[in-house]
Amino acid sequence: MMVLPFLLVAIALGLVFFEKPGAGYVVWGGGVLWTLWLLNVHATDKLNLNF
Amino acid sequence: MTDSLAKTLNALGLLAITLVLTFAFADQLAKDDLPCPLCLLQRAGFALAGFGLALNIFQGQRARHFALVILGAATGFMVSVRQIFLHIAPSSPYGSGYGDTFMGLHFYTWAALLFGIIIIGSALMMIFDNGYKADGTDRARNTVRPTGLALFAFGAFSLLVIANAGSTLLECELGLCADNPTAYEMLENS
Repeated sequence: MMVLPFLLVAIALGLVFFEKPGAGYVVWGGGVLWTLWLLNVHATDKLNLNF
Repeated sequence: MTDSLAKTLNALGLLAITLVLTFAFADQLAKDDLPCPLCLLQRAGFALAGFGLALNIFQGQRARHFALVILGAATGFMVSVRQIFLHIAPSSPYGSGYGDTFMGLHFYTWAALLFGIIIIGSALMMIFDNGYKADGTDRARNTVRPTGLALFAFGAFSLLVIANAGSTLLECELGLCADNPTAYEMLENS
């Protein structure tokens, strides 16, 4: 789960390189949402991690 | 602002983000200091912000690309500010601060400052760029493939993102990371 933001950005960069920026936007957007969701998971009472 | 100046500035910006990711990665490898979950999310914030600059390099400078830079940096900023708040109290059971420092500031404090600089820098680039016309359209796409410094910046940034993906997979496998990681889970379990 933690690897997904990096993986999605790497895929989005590949899509831009191969001239598919539209798909890159979508994949990048998935990366942003996933990162925010991970922050939410991190901060909620379920885990409430300190680091 | 001319296209070539814009491309050079975007390449330098992407190189700066690459340098930050390289510094964090070098610290991880040299000191065997595994990044915590929030540290990884801050790295992800830099990767998300850098993607907008990569788009500027490949597609020409556009307002929407800077929007992506700002959204990515804002995501990272939220993470770093959470970590600052977690460790700001002097009576914290974990002591004052967490992890290594650089020039007297913890890495997550530096991250918050850098995300702020990225956001302000993106806003300034949009102010000083003359490519955004009054009718709402922006400059036509620059489809010339990047060369030289711009291509190097894109390549180095992409490599760092892939390296971080590999390192995170080794550290956390496919799940969430340990609160205060001490070993690469995938290597321990193999």
